[in-house]
Amino acid sequence: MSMALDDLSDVSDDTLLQLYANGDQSAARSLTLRLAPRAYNQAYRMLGVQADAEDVAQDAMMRVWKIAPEWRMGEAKVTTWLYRVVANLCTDRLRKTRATSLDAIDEPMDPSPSAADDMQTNARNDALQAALMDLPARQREAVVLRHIEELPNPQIAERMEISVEAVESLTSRGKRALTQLLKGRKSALGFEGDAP
Amino acid sequence: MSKRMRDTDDLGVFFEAAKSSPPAPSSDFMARVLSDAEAMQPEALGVMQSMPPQQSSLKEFFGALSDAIGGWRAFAGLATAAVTGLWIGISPPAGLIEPFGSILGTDTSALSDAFEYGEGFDFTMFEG
Repeated sequence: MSMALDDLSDVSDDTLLQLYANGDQSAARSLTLRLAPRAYNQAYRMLGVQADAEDVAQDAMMRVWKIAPEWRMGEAKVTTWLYRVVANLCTDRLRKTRATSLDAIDEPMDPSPSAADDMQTNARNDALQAALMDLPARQREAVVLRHIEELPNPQIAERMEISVEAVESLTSRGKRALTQLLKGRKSALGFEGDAP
Repeated sequence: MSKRMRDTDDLGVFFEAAKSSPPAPSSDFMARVLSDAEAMQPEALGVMQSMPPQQSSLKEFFGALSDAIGGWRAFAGLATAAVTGLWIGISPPAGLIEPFGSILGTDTSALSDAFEYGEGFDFTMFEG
């Protein structure tokens, strides 16, 4: 499927929601392009399985379409609201299913086998994702927001509905656990070449 | 460089890898989301709801008409009135012609001639 670029890129999310609620079809397309990859990305980091992440992201986007006519301009950020929806859906799903084993983590979707650098990047990405899946869900969420999404701590605190101190504690513990989990995999991931 | 610093650097490399190749949604997924968006768009729902039901047959049409004028009894009354009106039009009784002629200020026999019938039901008998 090919989609045109978001031609409403300078329009705010909540204005787009209002346009969507008024029947503007280009707003539907723009919101999909803007929000669906973000929801999927977050769900994939939380769940580690492509199919589950797509289910959760699609479900979250359905809630976007449903709430559009009732959305109140300026009261909340659409992305923050969507983040909470995806996080809650992921938490529900994780509760229902046993913690995902490393074997269940998806293989790289597009490994580009001809490029050694890409392979190494993908291998590191996959190793990180597998290690993230071994963290408690809240630690994983905080680490992803801080070190992959690169959000400032106050914004993470707002999204996770916890204090800034709690965010710092979660990210700190998460990073220590990740270091331990990834320690044994350095040589397999080409770290000899990177080391001074 | 301390061991702790080395560990932090190593994690940084992993995080950089994650940022440089974020998980990409499939095109099928994007198509499904867009399809949901279009199906659930309020305007589209409004158009569907405001469309009148199609009259698929005469039965449905007369059903709707019957409901509008008050059911089958109203239909029976309407049919009786129509038949009576037709009968009076074809063969008016003499008692109706004479007052009508006096109102118009003319001779009732002239009216009878004009309509080419005699008295009572002769016209229908003649025609039939």
